[in-house]
Amino acid sequence: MIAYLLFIRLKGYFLGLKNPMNIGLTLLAVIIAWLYGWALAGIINKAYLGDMGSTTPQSVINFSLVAIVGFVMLRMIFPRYKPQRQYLPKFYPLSRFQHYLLSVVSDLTKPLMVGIALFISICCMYLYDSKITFLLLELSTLITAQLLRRLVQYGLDYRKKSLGNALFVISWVIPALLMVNYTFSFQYIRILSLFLPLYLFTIGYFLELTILENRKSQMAGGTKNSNLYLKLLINNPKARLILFFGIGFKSFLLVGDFYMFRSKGKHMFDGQLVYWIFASPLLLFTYVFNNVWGFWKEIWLNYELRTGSYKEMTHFVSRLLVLPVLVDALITLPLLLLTWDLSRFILLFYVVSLLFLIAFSFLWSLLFPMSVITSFQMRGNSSFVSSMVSMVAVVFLSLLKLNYWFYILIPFYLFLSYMAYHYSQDFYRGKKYNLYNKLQKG
Amino acid sequence: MIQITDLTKSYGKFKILDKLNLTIDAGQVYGLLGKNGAGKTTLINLILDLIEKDSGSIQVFDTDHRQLEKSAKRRIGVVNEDLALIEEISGYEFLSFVGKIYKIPSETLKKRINDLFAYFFEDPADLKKNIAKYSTGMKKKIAFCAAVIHTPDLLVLDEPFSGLDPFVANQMITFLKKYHRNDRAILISSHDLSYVEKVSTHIGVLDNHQLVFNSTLGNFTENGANELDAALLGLLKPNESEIEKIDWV
Repeated sequence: MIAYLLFIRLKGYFLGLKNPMNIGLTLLAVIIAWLYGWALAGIINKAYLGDMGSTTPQSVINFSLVAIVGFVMLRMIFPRYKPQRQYLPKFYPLSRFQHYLLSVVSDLTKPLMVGIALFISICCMYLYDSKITFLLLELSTLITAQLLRRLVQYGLDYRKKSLGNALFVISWVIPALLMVNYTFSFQYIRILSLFLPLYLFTIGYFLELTILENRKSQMAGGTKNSNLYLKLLINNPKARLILFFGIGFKSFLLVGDFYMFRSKGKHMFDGQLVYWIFASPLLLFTYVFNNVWGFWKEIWLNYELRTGSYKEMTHFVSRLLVLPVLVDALITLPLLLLTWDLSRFILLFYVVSLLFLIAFSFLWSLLFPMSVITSFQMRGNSSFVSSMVSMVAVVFLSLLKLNYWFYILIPFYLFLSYMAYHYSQDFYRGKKYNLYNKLQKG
Repeated sequence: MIQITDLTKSYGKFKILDKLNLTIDAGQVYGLLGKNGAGKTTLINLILDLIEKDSGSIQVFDTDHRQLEKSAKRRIGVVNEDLALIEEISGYEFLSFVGKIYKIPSETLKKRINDLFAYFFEDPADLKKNIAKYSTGMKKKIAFCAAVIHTPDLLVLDEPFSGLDPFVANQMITFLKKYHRNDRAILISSHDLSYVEKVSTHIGVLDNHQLVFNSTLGNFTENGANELDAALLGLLKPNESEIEKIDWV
């Protein structure tokens, strides 16, 4: 069955070549894979010869591994969220394992995966040294990334038995531990990268066994809006693009800072005040959540027309914030904790700034609403005042790092946050007309 | 259900409503008619407290409309000009979301969604499509379903028939006739006179910032002696002499 599927896939690639457009796209993909493969091989070879200063071949390879994982994971949500596909209906006379195997193999033969595999193979061809090790390492990382993506989607797309939910949580423990190990030291990476796909494949199979029903019937037939917040984020092109850009930009800076610290022992901006703007979840708010109703006007309108309850509106936004904040925290906190010896400061700074930004975002969204027409507007997606105040507040909070005396700021910030929420609640009845008027213009 | 006294609203220099008075009681299906720009949508948005009045009073369920509690708001069903549809999710998910806001028990909600879909949507696959992919008519239908799913005492519908084909518009009218009870009121603003005629018990005509007619449908059509559109044209008096000036057609 699997061989037949592979044959169908292969046939599909060639059948597609009857269309001149597909020929062009395939050629373009091959050229791009060749070009990037050749370029990466060139960099690694240079590093072997010692022409790249302190950059070692291993660090370049590690970078390519991270890029492959990142690329495969991002493809899941960009340009739009792609749910995990069921290749064959359940009534096909195959065992659960055969179904699972078929699904995994199908995923691994997708055009994107073939393209990346081609890139890896071409790069391998041009390498001077360690060709087989490189090939095995990169291919196993590619498979790992795809299996990791499946693991994420087991959490997002399916309703599972309670055992499945527990298994899902447990399944992340080992990849997380390995990730920590990977970050601390690369010495076991080769063994681990061979072990990880096997682990993910096995855990994926057990997760598959715990699925109660497939995603589509759950989404359509169920009354549980388990994916409501995710859909609101992913299916809103304006918010999705700008959040993706913001988190991507921040990750790029923090990963850059991480490598800079490892190689030179120094932080970007010398770790001074500006640095902490990027360490806080500020971008989520200045990009989107300081004008939350501009992005999700209909949510506000539904609550206003149906209950008029400001509390319910803000609770909804708080739940909508969970996923972006979680992603932000998962990227930011490990990187900060690994490069700074200031865990108490970092955790307090992050949590307090988050609470402050959330509370004030309700106020800003009410006081300075703006209609959002495109992701990147010349006048911005949230007001200048809200962005400036949020930025200054975050910078000011980073003073905690300088002296313990500044910890007195924490109760002050918490008090301000409480007051901001309290006043936004009071202002709501008077300000909602302006809110409706401004959003109508969108 | 609704009592409006001396309601005035202007946008800058432009007066939209001037000391308007209107009462809608339980048991009425009130058809609000008027030219484009007469202020029908403004009046509905004022009742819904989406825009601020200049002066006058609006009472809904004998309470100032700005002071309505959650429980009172839940007694109102709305299709307003924005439709308030969350386009990122499917029709089913949207109705579930609305049902949860109204705290409808999950089994009841499931039954109501299925019944409404079976009645208004031919293809069950529409249930799973994201609203962004719906046609204008489908969006109207799902907004209507969201307005009635909690069986409100007061139903406020702004142009519910626009964009609908005659088959669906008649489906909606049949539904409204079934929905109509002595303890419920329905306010419909519409241009589609033939549909309004089929369902309304009372008619109000907005013109020159005022209600120039406000009585029963029977009084409006002189107990069926006149067609609704003839009665309306007689009231609004379009300037037909202007057509004589257009000599280039």
